[in-house]
Amino acid sequence: MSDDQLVAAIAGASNDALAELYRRHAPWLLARLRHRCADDGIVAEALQDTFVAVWKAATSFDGRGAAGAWLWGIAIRQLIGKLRKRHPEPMVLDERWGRAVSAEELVLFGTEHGDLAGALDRLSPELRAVVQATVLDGLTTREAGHLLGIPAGTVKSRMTRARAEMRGALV
Amino acid sequence: MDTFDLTYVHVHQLIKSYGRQTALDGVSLDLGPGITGLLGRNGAGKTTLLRILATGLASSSGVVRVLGEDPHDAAGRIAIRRQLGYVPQESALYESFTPFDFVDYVAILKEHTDRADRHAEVRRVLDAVDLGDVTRKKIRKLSGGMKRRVSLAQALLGDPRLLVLDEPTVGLDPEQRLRFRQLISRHADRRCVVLSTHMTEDVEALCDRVIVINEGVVRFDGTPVELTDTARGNVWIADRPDPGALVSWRTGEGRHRHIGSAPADAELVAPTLQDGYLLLSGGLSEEVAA
Amino acid sequence: MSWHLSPTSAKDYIGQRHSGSTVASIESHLPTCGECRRLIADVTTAANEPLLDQVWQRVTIALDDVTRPWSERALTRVGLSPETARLLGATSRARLSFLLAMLLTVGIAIVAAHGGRDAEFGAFLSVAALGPLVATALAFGRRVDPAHALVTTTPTSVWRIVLLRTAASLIPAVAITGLASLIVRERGWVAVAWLLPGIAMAVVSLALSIWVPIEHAALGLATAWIAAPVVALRPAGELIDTTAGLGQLVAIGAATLAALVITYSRSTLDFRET
Repeated sequence: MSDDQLVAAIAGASNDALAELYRRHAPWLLARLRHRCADDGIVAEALQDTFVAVWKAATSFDGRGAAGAWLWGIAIRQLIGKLRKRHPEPMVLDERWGRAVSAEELVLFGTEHGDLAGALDRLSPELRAVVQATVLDGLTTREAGHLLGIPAGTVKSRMTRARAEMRGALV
Repeated sequence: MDTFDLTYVHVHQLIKSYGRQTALDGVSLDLGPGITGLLGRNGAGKTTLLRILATGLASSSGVVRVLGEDPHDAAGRIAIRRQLGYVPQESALYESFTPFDFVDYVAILKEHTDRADRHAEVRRVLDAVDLGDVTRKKIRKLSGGMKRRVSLAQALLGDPRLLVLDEPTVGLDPEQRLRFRQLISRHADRRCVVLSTHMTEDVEALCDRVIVINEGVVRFDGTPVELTDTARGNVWIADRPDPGALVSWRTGEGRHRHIGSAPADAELVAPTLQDGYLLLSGGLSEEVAA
Repeated sequence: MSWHLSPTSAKDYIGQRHSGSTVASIESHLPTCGECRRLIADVTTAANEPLLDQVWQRVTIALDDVTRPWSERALTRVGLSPETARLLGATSRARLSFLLAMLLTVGIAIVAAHGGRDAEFGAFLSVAALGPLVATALAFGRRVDPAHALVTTTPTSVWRIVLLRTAASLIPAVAITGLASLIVRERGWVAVAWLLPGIAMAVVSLALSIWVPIEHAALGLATAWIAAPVVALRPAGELIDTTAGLGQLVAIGAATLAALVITYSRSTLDFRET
């Protein structure tokens, strides 16, 4: 059964399908969540809530995107939800910052080729974390702020700096 | 353990009447560990007997002891119910519940008070009847065979010493019936299972003992082999139909199988349990034969 | 994508030993590549089996709550234990339709009573008093509860279930009619004269259910209740007038007697002749 078929079966209340989806996806989600949060307790909670959320949201999965990306979207947001309980709301946000990542950024940070990878590695850890959260995880500025425990304004300014540094490195 | 402990059910001269109608007319039997099958027509008294054993119905007269207790005594009734699993004849489920909800509901009634333990037990019995995949589906969306298995699952809660199953195989497909046999034969080890059925194959495949009830009276009580043997010398194969036979039908090979006295040019064949049952109950009932 | 992770690289990813850019390229690759997800999954599972099993157990337990019917969750929110809520939830549909019917009937009765004539007011009192009776009949009966045959062969006292379910339909039923009485309160205390006879009939029907199915008992009582004013040639309001007292005294007497009967023979509620 494909992942899409599994999600469809979960929408029809199949426990076996959920168990199979868990078997396939929980391990890599766990590994990836651990790259975002060092506290295994929080990661385990987020992973648990991810699959509970999958059960509830299965009927609304439209099958247009990859199931893997859909799952990660749920998982990272569950993690942010947990982290938010730890860190207080950073600050009031301007909604303009909540926009999606542009195509230019995806190209800019498309990291498969040598120079770009080098440029990314040369970024300071703070800047790299911001790039990772917004570009890779597809988070909004606000969500990235929650994940990293910094105000959204800081996310925004670090992103600007990261963009500039990487452009510089590529010239 | 003394011998009394091995008598799970003791019934002596049991009579049950509804108004002027007599459903059970002097039934006596003792049941030990193992699987006992009740065979009989609709209305023969099987369901009445099982309801009495399951403490759901009062008897009119006679002695009934279930697991050593008297069901007419309020405390005895509760003691029996604590060790009883019962599948009533009519599928009795709440359609808006899921199998998990329903079995959990029965588990609450059966005094499984600790929530985590109870839920684990509910999952165990649902897995045992192969419903693990659909525990969270609404019951109204399940097939007839699945609903029957939900009924069976609740009866297995707490691994009861006595299992009373009223037509548990109705609505099951052949594969599910095989699974049912596996499950019940595993359970019957050192426990007592009594089930009613229309299907002589179930009795043949599963039961250590068979009791044939007809018009409220026990007509036969013995092993399946003994019931088969009652027809020995009465089952024939011939080339032509025989109007004088008790029961007679054309088999797949184009010959005619007769139960009863020997027709002309017939050869004697080995009987089956069904032959024994048919002979004992006097052939087909009138409504079926007509 | 044209590349795949090597097992070593997968191990380094799990062990968080890769540089930021490698992590980034692995992670942008993972959601779309089943093969590499499998590799990561195998490596992670090998090292984290207990944790993954534990999380899965917790998912299973959490889902038990998610899939609970809304009626049960509403009951737990008002303070009942999940177990009690489940015992009530089993036949909640029958009670819900009863309460809706009740609202409708009482609504009609109020409109009639507002006309101000005695006959219509008497009709309101008659209908209001039937509420508790019907509520009780719906709490327990072979027709209402499809699992009746099963419920009566469990060690839990049937009496406890009857009381629980009766309370669950009685409390809202009395509340609805009580509010209705406020609307017609210009009549004074007579407007709540239905309460005692209503509860008395409910208790009497429970007592009768020891011998006959509760549906039959309720039907008989309801018929008698409707017929009484006709036979006595007096309006219902007069028969059960709170200030006149006689009707109320009869109700108290009947309820007490029935309660005594129940107390002495409640253990036979679950054990019938038919």
